[in-house]
Amino acid sequence: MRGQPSEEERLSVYLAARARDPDAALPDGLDPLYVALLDGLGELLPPEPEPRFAAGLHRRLAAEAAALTGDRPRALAPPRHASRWWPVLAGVATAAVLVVALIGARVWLGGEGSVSAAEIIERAGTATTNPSGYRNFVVTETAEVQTAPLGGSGEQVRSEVTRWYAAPGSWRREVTLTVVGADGRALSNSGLTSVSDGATVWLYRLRDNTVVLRPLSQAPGDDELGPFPEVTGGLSSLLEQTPTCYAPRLRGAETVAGRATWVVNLGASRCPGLDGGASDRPVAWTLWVDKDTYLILKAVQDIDGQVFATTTVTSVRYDVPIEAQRFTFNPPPGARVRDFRGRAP
Amino acid sequence: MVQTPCVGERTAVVDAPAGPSPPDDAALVAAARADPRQFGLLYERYVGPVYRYCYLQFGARAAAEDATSEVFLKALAGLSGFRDGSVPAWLFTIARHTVIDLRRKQRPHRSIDEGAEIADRGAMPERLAVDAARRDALRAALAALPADQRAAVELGLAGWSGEQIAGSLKRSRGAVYLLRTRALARLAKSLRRAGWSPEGA
Repeated sequence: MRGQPSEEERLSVYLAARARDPDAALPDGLDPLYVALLDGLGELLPPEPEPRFAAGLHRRLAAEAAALTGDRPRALAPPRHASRWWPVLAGVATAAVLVVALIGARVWLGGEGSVSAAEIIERAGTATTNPSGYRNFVVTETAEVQTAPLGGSGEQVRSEVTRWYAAPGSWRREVTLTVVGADGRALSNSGLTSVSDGATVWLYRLRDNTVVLRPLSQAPGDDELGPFPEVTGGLSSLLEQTPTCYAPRLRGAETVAGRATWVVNLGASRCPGLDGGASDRPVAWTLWVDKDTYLILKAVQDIDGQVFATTTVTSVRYDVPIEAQRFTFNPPPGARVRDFRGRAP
Repeated sequence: MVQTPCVGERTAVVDAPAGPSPPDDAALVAAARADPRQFGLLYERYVGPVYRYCYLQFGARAAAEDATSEVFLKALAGLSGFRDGSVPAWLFTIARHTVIDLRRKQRPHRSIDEGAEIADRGAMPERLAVDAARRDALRAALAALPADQRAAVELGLAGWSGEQIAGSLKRSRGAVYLLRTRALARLAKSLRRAGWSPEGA
């Protein structure tokens, strides 16, 4: 014969009844304190994350993911509240690596003379598409992105890229990326090394000690990790659209990485859909263009006068001896090696 | 993201309809492992539940944001180590460890006694002070629950579905329901001792 229901059994009955009717009556014998308890728990319901925070973290994760893949950040499915700003960051990242490519595109385009801002930009555009005149180079650049002007919580994403290149297809690219909190402490570090010996590409992720091998693409500009990946979709696109979408102004001259440069302010785009152009907070560009080679040595982006991205070449050397082992890669002990060389691209 | 009913919510206490189905999660994980840039899809799905869970642990927005950031950065970094299984369980494990780590660096939450002090000080309107003290008492009682019971209640408050909670705690949904019920009974006992009254004042 069954006795009186336990407190837990009474509570179960009440919970089920309350699920259907919030004002359900308490079963006989159940402490009325449960009503206050359940109401009290209801008061503890946590809030949703603030959209600003969620969007900022999404961007930070995208930057981290980009470091893992060796690619520039691209959010394939950015949150709706962040999508407006995503092209901005993609542009920043593009700029961060493009400067290196532009350095590689060393072209002599004549002396300084008197030149307009529009001509400087035109010659810089030519330099991006005619990489010639060197055998090899070693270049280092740094990039810093402030998230606050983009609606983030004050974090900075800092990266440094060093690239060794020897024609025709040997290169090594080492990337370190650090996310720094608003208080200045490092929140995360990541790194990626990619190497080509002209036939095989090694991609090494430090974080999970993984090496991926694949064949080098034979199509010029087709290899995202090659020496000039950015030419196809980065600042070259910006420079091409400058005559139509920007109003370049010569702002002066400065020295960058020991090189004399022109400072050209492009302002913000007048065209929709280009680097934040036609948005309510358009992104303005300023470029430092090498007076000798017309290569871009520094790029700064700002919103409403507040700088959020700076990319600067800190060192560049042409036609210097580069030891052969730079262009090969030996997986570290314990590394997981995934070989995709036998597969179709 | 759909927030499912949970313990404490007036509208429902029993398990809500299941959240995202496992195949969807598996597809997202597979995509993210193949291309980490796809991690954003997984993030979008779980940032709400993870944030709300973290918020419950700290009771403060800034700390919840720090913890949530840590959780997803660790998840992204650990994608390659994730084996087939429950994504909520994986994230919950990371979140729980993250909370423990961050808590070590923070001062502890107010205790029940400190809450009573607030009520006694009379520095704020009496009603607000009493409400604050009651909430503190409830939080303290919640914190004193056995880990699995506490998780069952808190994940429910954070909007995790019954299926997600079951996966996270590696229990059946029936077992999770039992855990919640026992947790409520234990909470009631603690609060009686702390001087709670049914009238809620």
